[in-house]
Amino acid sequence: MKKFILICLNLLIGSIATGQSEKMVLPSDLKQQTVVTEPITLRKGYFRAGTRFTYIAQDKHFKESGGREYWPYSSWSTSYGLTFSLSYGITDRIQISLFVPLDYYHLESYYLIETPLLGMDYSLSINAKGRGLGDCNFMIWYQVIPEKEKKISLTVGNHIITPTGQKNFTDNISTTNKYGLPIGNSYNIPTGEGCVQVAAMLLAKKIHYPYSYSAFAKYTYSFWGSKLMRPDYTSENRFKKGNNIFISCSFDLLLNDWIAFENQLNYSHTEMGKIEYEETVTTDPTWDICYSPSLIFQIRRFRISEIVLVPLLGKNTNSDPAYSLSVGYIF
Amino acid sequence: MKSKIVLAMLMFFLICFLPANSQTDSKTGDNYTLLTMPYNKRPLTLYKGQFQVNAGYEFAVRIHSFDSDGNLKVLKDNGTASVFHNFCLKIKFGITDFLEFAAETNYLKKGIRSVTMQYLSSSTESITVNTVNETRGLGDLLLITSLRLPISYKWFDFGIKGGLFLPTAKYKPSRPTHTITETTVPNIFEINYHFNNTNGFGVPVYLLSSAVKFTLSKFSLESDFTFRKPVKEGENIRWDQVMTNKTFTYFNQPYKYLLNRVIDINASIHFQATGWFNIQLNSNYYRSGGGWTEYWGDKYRNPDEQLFSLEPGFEIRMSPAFTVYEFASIPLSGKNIDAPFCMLFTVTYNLFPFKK
Repeated sequence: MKKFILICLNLLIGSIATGQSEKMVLPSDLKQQTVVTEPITLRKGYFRAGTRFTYIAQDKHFKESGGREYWPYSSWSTSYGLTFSLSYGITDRIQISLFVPLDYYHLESYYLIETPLLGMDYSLSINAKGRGLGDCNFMIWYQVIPEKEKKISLTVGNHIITPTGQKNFTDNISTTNKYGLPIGNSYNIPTGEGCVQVAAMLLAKKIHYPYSYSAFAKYTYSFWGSKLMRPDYTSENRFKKGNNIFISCSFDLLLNDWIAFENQLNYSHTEMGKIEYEETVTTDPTWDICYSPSLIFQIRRFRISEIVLVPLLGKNTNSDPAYSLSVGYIF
Repeated sequence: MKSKIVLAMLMFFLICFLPANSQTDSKTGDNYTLLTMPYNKRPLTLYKGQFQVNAGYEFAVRIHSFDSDGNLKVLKDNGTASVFHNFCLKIKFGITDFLEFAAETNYLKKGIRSVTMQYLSSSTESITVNTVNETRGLGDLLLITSLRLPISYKWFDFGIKGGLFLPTAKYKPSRPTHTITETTVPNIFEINYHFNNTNGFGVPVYLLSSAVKFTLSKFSLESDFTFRKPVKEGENIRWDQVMTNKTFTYFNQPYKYLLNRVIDINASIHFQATGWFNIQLNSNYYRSGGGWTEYWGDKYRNPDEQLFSLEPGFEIRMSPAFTVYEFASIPLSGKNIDAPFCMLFTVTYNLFPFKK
């Protein structure tokens, strides 16, 4: 009977206490981690290939005095971008990434001009396009403090943007009417910035399942470069883009095992830039605060993200939302 | 014998104490089953006690329009293309399994530019005129009651709706906010006309609708017909301005109007790929006309408008409470109407607040 009681007690304890067990983590599970649960860098030997499509239509801008207003002129400008990326985990802590952007810009303007003295009405149209390779860029990330339970991970990174895109306006063609008045203008918009930029990055992340929190800071330094500043210029001018500070906070949550909802709040400030004409002129500093919600679907090793970037406040910059769709695959 | 008794007691003990964590089948009609009901098994209205909140965002790029002959005009060629943003909110409640009440409104933001005009008097005298017509604000509150056949949905459903747009939104345009941009040359400047319109109808508008739904296995067909008509004529104001020494003086004049009658027809085919994923292709036909607007004391008939669009989309159930809908609207043909390409994103939250 003693034996029987001991067996029963043993079974009772065994049935009630769901004893601790070590979780078996398979490589395939690691490849399917979501944006909430994954560490910042890829694990050793893993690749992630991805592509991201972005669309922006220019409709409004933030004024010098703050506040938003429509672009007043009869002009329509859109930009599409398709960026291919490839990331590789050199070790569990070091990741390198390469980004190859293909950009497409389109600008169309149309004006009606009345000249009472000449007794003549005519129109002026501008049609500008830019398509091709943008500025390719590289990133390297290193996890200084790696992801561990209940601890914040800290990652530092470096970002180098190379001027691989076409930096100058090309094929500037103006047409005139029989009186020599301009009625049309077409040119190719550059797809590159024309200068080297280097950035230092810092990223902290904490996972508190099913949530994760992160903070990101980036400082971009722009080197001097030279390019044609306007389509009708024939010689290049030296210029320096303003350096940029970018700070972002993110709160992510898992809506279920395979859909994450990411909320980002971004602040960006670009310092005054310089252009060397006969005299050096400065460009206005800009800043903006944007909110970026995104839905991220993790379907096995595929990751599909839908992202909207909504500018909330700002000065001297565009205030149009950007729409992005990205697809990534880890292997 | 003793060992057999011990073994029997042991078995009994095991059965009593070891919890069987086997999967259980949800009972038909429980909250979880109702909240996760796929589209091809759902009736046209909500279930009794079900509360639903729909928050949507529509982004539209207006780069085409159709003229009175149905020809496609490319607005971006003359720089007058634009975008609009529409935020929608809809709340629904199932009073019974066959009767539903809903309230909805929207917030619209759009700005339409006109062609920039430049008047050149001489090389030292030039005036550039830009015009932006902005429409912004809350829409009217729409209250709708829906009724469907009092049968359990298996493969056929039919419902009717009746509703009223209450003129709760501001409908009189605000005073324009024109500005002048001066240059260093005294006689070269820009006039920026900016008109501030609102989003309300200004009069009550009633709505009648009927819908039908068929399901055959994973495929479903749904169609609805909606008719909208204003209850009465409305009165509004139209702003005008006089510029003296680069300063604007505004004045307004009242005018009467009658909103167009609107017919809206949808027909869609749905495929329930899995329990949580439904894809659909909807075709939409919109027609409006019969209204008029008063100008300088005379009534001018509003142009009749028509638009036919295709709307592919999908529905993803993220959890029993949350569902995401995404649609694109591609205009194919029309008359006298803008033809924007639209993307609509909606998140739906469902619950049974009074049912355990």
